[in-house]
Amino acid sequence: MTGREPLHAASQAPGAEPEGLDVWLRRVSLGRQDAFDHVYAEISGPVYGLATRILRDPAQAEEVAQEVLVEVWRQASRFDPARGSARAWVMTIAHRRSVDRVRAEQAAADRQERNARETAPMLPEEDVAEAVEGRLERQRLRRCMGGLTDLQRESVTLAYYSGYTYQQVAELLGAPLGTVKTRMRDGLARLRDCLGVGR
Amino acid sequence: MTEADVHTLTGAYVCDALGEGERAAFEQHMAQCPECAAEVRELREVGAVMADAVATRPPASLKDAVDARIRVTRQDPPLTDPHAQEPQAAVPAQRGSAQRRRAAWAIAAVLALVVAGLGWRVADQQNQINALNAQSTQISQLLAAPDASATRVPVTGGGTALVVDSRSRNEVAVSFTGVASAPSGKIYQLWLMTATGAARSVGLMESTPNHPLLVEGLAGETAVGMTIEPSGGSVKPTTLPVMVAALEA
Ligand SMILES: [Zn+2]
Repeated sequence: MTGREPLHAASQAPGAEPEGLDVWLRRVSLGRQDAFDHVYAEISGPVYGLATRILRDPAQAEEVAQEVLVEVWRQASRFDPARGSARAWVMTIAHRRSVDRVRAEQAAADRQERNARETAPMLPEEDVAEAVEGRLERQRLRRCMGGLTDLQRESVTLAYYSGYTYQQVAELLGAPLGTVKTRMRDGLARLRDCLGVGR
Repeated sequence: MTEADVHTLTGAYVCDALGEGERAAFEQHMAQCPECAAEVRELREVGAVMADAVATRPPASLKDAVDARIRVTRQDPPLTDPHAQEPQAAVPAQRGSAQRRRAAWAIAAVLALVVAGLGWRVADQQNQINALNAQSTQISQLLAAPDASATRVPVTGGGTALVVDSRSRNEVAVSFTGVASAPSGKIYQLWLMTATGAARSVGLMESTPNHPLLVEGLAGETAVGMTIEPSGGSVKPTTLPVMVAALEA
């Protein structure tokens, strides 16, 4: 096609063991579109799901997911296994892009509607724990969420799944700023220990 | 905020719950604080599980759009590479051949622009080039630029777009082949897009243009794209692009 297209490396040997996402990301960093297909199959669901959860708009979620997945392709060589799992690297990008978009949308809406009408209160439309229920492989997270205090759980889920700033979370929960900051931290730390990840 | 307080921001940082200024300040702190860096690394693994918990099967259109874009998206070099901050510093040994390839592309691009844009026959190439020069001195200057580079990308719904750009001139020309007219009541809108996804409109087309479009004044944008918008155009894209081409850095 064009001189810009990356060269394809030799394909994977047949009969190879199933490998981790970090191995596939390294292959992607060599310009291998076949490796990207594998990465896409693993991460597109969580990326799109997270964007949908935060943006609450399938069309916008699809746009953000597209940006995230192209960024994964573009920046695959920047992934450093010493600094966390491949999945955490991807989801960090996905979360950041989704939150940036929802804030930009909110800012634009605020500008446009400042004199028109008050923006509807940004309360979550459904209980997060409820959405997590019913999926066998997700019961572990649900169980660990159940081990948090209400304030920890609400602080973490409102920030992570709804994209609120800690100031907005504090306002929604009627809790002091410092408390909310701390609950996000110790809530996540308790989830980390319960899930057995990150250590 | 006191120095003791800043360490408690790891959770809010991982949740992207800090405002822009606080986020930047915390990242500065984290660069100096191994404890916070380690804690952020651990807490991000929780975020990955939380993302998995809301996984949703995306529409097939997402895969198509991503595939179309990665075909024309150049990958960043590794950060450990000492030249990582200056990706344009190509290996000297490859410089000559890269330039020749670009020159060849520029010539091919002239012909393709002429054939696609003006609908002329491939025969009598010199006449075509002369005519194109007459039609648009500026496009011919773009095509003659030493760093002019071309790429052809598919357009969703059929046809292709040929994109020729030059960073030294900060210009990009786009011509279309086999692209259907926009649906009734809609128009095609062309955008320049940044790496962060911001888009600025650079033109509206009721139907497929019959000559190349020239966009001047590129300001570091990384891609040119086209969406279908309500007639009159939109302030920002409201639909997924039907065409996206990465611009040569
Ligand atoms: Zn610290």
